[in-house]
Amino acid sequence: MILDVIGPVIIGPSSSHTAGMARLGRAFRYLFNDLSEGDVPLKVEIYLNSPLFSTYRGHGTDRALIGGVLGIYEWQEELKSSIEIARSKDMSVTFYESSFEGKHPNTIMISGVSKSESHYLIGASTGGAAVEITEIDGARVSISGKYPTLIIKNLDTPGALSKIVTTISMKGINISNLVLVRTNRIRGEAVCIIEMDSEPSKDLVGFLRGLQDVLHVAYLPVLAIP
Amino acid sequence: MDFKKLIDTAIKTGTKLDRVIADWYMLESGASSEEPFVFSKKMIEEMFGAYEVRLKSSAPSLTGWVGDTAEKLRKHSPVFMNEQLIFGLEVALSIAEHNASMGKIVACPTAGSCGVVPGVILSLKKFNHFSVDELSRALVVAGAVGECIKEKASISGAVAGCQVEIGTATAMASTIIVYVIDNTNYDALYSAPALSLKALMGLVCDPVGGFVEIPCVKRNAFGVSIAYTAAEMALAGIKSIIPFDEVAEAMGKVGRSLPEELRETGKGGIAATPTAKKLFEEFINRGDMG
Repeated sequence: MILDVIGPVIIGPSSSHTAGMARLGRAFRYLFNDLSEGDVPLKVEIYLNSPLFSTYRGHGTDRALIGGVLGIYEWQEELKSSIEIARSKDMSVTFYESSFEGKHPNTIMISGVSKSESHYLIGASTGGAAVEITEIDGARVSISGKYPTLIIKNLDTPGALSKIVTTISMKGINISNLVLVRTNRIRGEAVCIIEMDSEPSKDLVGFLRGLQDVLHVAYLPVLAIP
Repeated sequence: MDFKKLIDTAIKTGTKLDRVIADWYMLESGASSEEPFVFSKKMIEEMFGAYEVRLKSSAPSLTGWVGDTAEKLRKHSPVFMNEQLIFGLEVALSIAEHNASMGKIVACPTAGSCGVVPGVILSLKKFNHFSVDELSRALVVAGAVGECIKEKASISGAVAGCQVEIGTATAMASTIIVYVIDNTNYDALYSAPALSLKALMGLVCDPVGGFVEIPCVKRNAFGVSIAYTAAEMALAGIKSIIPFDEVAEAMGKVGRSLPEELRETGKGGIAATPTAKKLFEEFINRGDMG
């Protein structure tokens, strides 16, 4: 696409170390159902792959990830002062060095807790602000953020998937990609990743949350908005 | 995709090149053929905005290593260059410095090379009075040039060195200059980006500490001067004997043969000099941020 080389509009200095990281932070935020606009998780821990750890301050990677968790977009000036904003909202953030062997060099993990939920996400900023999310709350996934995506934790029982898919199709939304993975055999839990061709309404997300076999629904809007 | 094919289509159908590219975009993406122009106008406005914002702030970069180059050029009375070129260099430095200090920029094609295209666009607007509409059409054509390089080589310094970052930006910028001056001079349009790439072929990506600061900021200014040089030569009728599409292919091959130290790892080139190592060590030990 010709327009891939013009833009996106981002806060510098690096599309992979800054802009992509802000998107990963934002994806993590979307996992929480109890965070309204302006709310922040109480405590966040960020694990940076070794090659990132020695240089993250000079790339603003810390500010980008924190900014994303705060809900700041990669083109918003506030990204630069995210550390100060997080401090003013009493969000505790700690950075650790980690080793993600066999994964993309720019791989990070974010884990955190809010008042009533806890989540983690592993993903990589793969260049040009593009991202790939590879793990969410124990489920191996592959999410690019190019589609509106539902991440549904459901009971590992017959018919659970069928109810979810039927509910979505009744709203006239086409599913483009679908993956179901069992995450915990003992607790009988699975995670369903659904990428769609159009955005679900708030009603639909709410309706899915109310389904009998559904435990948690996170909605990830398209991450790459030009 | 070959840039030559787009040019041939324009010649054969008697359609302006920007229109040919917009139609091609429409077929590929399913979007409206007006979208590229709307988008490129928006990007040009963002470029102007970034320069305006930077004029009012002189925040140093995240490491504090760069931040005063544009201002120095602004205060300088040109000794050899004309005002337009000096202004182009100054804009490129401003925007690259803005990027290094977490300012809002248009990655074009990348954040590290974000100053070159605005340097050319803002100077063409100020001194030759081209409208945003004319410039946006030229930027769409430049987008096709960038896309060709992306397909044949890469636009990532980590993959193929600085030659594909500042190099692509420069090729795009020289295309813009030629297109606004004479949008049917197809020989010049095909030669200017080729001449630009040949000037920067082999340029390694060797940022000090791995950060987008030294030498990235200053290389943006050099990109502008090379873009004007390539465009001026092409408009004079000087042809690139080796066609643009082949030069872009060659750049990809050169990129793939570059050792890892010279591909954005901060381990080779000027990043491996004693002064660079000392700077990085001081920054790491400072620990005063975040």
